[in-house]
Amino acid sequence: MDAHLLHWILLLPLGSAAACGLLLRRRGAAAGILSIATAFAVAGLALAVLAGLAPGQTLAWQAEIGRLGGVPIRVGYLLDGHAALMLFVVTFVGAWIHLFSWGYMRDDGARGRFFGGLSLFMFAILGIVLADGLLMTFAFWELVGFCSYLLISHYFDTDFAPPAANKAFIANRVGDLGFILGIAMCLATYGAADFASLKAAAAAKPAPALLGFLLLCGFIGKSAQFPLHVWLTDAMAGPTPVSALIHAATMVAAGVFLMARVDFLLAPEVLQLCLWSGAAMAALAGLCALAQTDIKKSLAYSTLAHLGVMGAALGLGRADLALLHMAMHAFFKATLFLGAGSVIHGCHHGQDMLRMGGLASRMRLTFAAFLAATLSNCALPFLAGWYSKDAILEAAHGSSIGAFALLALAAVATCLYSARMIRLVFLGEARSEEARAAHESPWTMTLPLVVLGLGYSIIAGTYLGLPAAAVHVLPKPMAFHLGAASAVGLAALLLGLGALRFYGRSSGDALRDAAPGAYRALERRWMDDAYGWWIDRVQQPAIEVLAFLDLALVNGLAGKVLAGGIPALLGAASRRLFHAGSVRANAAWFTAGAALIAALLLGAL
Amino acid sequence: MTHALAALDAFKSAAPQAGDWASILPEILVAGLGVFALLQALTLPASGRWLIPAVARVGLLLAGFLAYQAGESEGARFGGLLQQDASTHLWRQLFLLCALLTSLVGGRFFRQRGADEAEFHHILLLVTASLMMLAQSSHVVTFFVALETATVGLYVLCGFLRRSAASLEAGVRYLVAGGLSSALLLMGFVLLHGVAGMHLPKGADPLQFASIAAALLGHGGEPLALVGAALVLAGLGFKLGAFPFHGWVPDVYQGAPTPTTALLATASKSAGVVGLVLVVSGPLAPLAAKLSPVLAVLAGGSLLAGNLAALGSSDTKRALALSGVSHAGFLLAGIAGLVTLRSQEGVFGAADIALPIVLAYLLAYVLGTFATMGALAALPAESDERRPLVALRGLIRRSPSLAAGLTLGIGSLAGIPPSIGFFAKVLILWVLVSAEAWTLLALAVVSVAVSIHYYFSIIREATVRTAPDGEVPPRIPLLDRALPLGLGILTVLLGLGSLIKAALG
Repeated sequence: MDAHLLHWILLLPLGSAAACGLLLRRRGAAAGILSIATAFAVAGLALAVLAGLAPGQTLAWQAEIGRLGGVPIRVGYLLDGHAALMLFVVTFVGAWIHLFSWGYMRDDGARGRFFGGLSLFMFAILGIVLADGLLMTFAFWELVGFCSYLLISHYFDTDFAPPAANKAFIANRVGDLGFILGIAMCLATYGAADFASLKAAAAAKPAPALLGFLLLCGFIGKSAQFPLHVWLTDAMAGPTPVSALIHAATMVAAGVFLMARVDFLLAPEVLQLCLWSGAAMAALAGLCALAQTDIKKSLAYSTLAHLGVMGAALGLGRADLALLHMAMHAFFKATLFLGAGSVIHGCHHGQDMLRMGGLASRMRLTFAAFLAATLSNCALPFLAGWYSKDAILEAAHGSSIGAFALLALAAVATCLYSARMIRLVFLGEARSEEARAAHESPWTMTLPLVVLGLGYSIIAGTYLGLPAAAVHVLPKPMAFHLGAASAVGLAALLLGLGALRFYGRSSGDALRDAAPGAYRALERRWMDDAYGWWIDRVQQPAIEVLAFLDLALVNGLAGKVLAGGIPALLGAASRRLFHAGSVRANAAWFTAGAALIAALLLGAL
Repeated sequence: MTHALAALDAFKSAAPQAGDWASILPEILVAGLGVFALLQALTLPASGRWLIPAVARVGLLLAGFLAYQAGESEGARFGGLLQQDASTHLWRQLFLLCALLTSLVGGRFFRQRGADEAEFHHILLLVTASLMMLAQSSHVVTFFVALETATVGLYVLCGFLRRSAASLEAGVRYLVAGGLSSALLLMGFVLLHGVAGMHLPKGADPLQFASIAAALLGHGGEPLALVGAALVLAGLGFKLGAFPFHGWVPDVYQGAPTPTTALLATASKSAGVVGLVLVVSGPLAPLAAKLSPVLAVLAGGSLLAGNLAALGSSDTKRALALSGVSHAGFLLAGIAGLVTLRSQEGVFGAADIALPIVLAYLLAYVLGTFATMGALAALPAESDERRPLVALRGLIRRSPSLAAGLTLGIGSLAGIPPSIGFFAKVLILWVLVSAEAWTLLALAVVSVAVSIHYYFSIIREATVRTAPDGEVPPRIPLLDRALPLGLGILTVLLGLGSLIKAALG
């Protein structure tokens, strides 16, 4: 097995993006077909590569593309077990989401731009997956950020999408600043930035805590970890397939993947930080999902909670568990988003859960897939989500009881918001005209739901249907046994059943009716408020002081006096001295000049 | 009897050898073209007068090709009256380039103002031929005659708009200043001739550059020789427009017709440079150690005086004239570095590159100046000698191509990367670093910073500020717009080319 197929896997989406962007901008159908065909071709190629890869085997390739001041600039691939798993998830889930987009974006006027963006995103994320070093990773890391920006602002004529895209981009910049400093520190400390050299070097000389922290900044930005998590819920302004692909299944998981690749650079202090912030975010974001009426926002909080769980697993030093959860989450969360997309499509682009209801009978296939994914999300034993989540809970229980408590709370919250979602969207009576008129979506949308929801969300945890090369790095599937983790899981499920009854009590939101204070506390976006306070009360006054100084010193003093007045004075003075305009003055200067030179030469001066 | 025989031998040696005439074929061609321009004016009907500039331009290109073909042929010609080497042919091409660009800028300009185009080309070509002779002279007589012939032609071109008082006044001012400087130059040569005559053996020609150098080698410290050197430098300082001989520059540049101004700024200044280079590496070479501080003072003075006086100037041509003084400072700094390096390490090493660097600086300066002056000449104005900065206001709307050419040309003159002007300045600074002339280096850097102020005030008027509405801009012919724009783009392309070459090398 040689690395040439990897070139095709990486470059096909780029070709598709270029064709869609440059040639097919106004021919949405052609662009869609090209982009979808490319996505499936890439998935097929990836499966072929992975099938030819024995467990434990890695595929590497490297080339020098140029020199900068004598330093070679290299690009290369490193397809090891971690990358194999990520490659499978990205290409496989990506292909189905591409197909789903065909139906979902049917009536959109800018399909060429949309599919071009999707293809470009595939190119970028595959670059991260295959990269063999931090430098190439960073280049593609920025490119996924750009694609995310592009796709969030797809509906750029609305008043909410562009600010959301800006917010995502800016929050990621903050994280990436740390990331690039971390890369620079890697180069300074170890003289290399490719994973193989770094691993060998770190074994001899452990990385300083600061280095790990800086790299963690990249993860915090991209994977929307506290305190940069604020962009992810806003990013739901993009089309739903984008939310499923980029903001649930793949891009936000890329941070987890990166941390797994460089876990040997993370000092114990960094792991502790990662554990606590991840666990705390898992619990809080899970609870916040209870106070969202927009179905996609609620799912976004759910994604935040799961990213927190993955962060906690990384913090426990269990990168394998984090990756396992990343993969399982990709399957069921993509299904949940696609299901939500199908519901939104069926309800004519209504996203308010309080205006839905009773859709189970009208959208049977969507409901079945959504339910399966929800149960996987709630970690019902023997479904995909259970294998990873229970393993993480158990690992936390063995290591830190505080983190375990937070993760247990997250598990409970998960069941509560899942039950609420099922109750409000699919059960009960329809609460609006749109919900009454809802209809099942076309096959291009339901087929991905069946594959990802009724298929992978249920069975993926047993590694059925996953390539052997990818499974190699994952822990053995566990059997059910009674312990602290399973006790919490079962209790959470029971509470979920209770929530199903609780939310049936009201035609609106039962929690809001019962405890409005608590609901508002969860609904409120504390971190956004904190940022707002900082910007309004600290940053803005400071900038105003600077602006005043700029006006007074730079504009007034330097601009008017130094740049305007003094040069004019100097100019006028020297013009008066040399250029009086009279021929006699010229002659005098001539004579004086000749005398000056003679004096200099004679040594008289 | 022996005395007479020796004189005869000297005469024989000065008689033309085979190949002497062929070696000055470009000069003969250009001078011949000059005469031919007058003949055409007499014989051609009015409808055929367009041929005059066309023939001149084609001839200039042909002469340039001949000079290029001469490649690296070198040696003494006409018994030592002329001396050719590799750089000779570069100087010739530079002067031919100046002439061609002046012809392109001046053709329509003079026709529009009722001046005789044939006469203009006649004088332009004769001036050019003289300057080309100057670049290869190695004898006081050829040097002085070539320089004077060119200067006389320039007097006429300054006063060429005979109906304009300003143009006539510029001609007279230039005549007076030029006459004074010629007197100083001639007096200097006379003193040097005297010193050489006293110390040279019989039969050696004390007007020959090499003989003067040989005489000064042992007697360079004599006051007579030093005063002579000072007067020669003063005379050449006038041609360069260098401090403190620059008093005439703004008045003459402003009053002269703009194409003449461009010619004065480029060809005439180049003549000063080549004259100075020939003198300091020929007859005055033994005085190198004494000359370099003097040249440094002149360079520093020019940098300061030119840049300071240009600050806050309200007239475009005046500002450019004063900026030309500071460019003379840069060129002098390069020559001072050259002389210093030679006095330190003989003729090898960094000194060998210093001369090509000065030439490269001149090329950048010529391109930038013609881009700028070409744009000015193309702009309609009530009177050519009054071109206030405010008249450029809103040029970007009236004629984007002219505004672009002007901006790129000014950018190159100011030394903004990636224009060729930037690299030219960097190379001169490199020479100064090699020569360890730290004071001059500091002055040069500061003067670049200062010059940004007035250069950008020109660019700002042309591009940022808007003109009052209502005026309908007159149509400017394509050639007049294309020339500044093309030259402006060329400065950037050459700069990028140098950048790529530097990166690869």
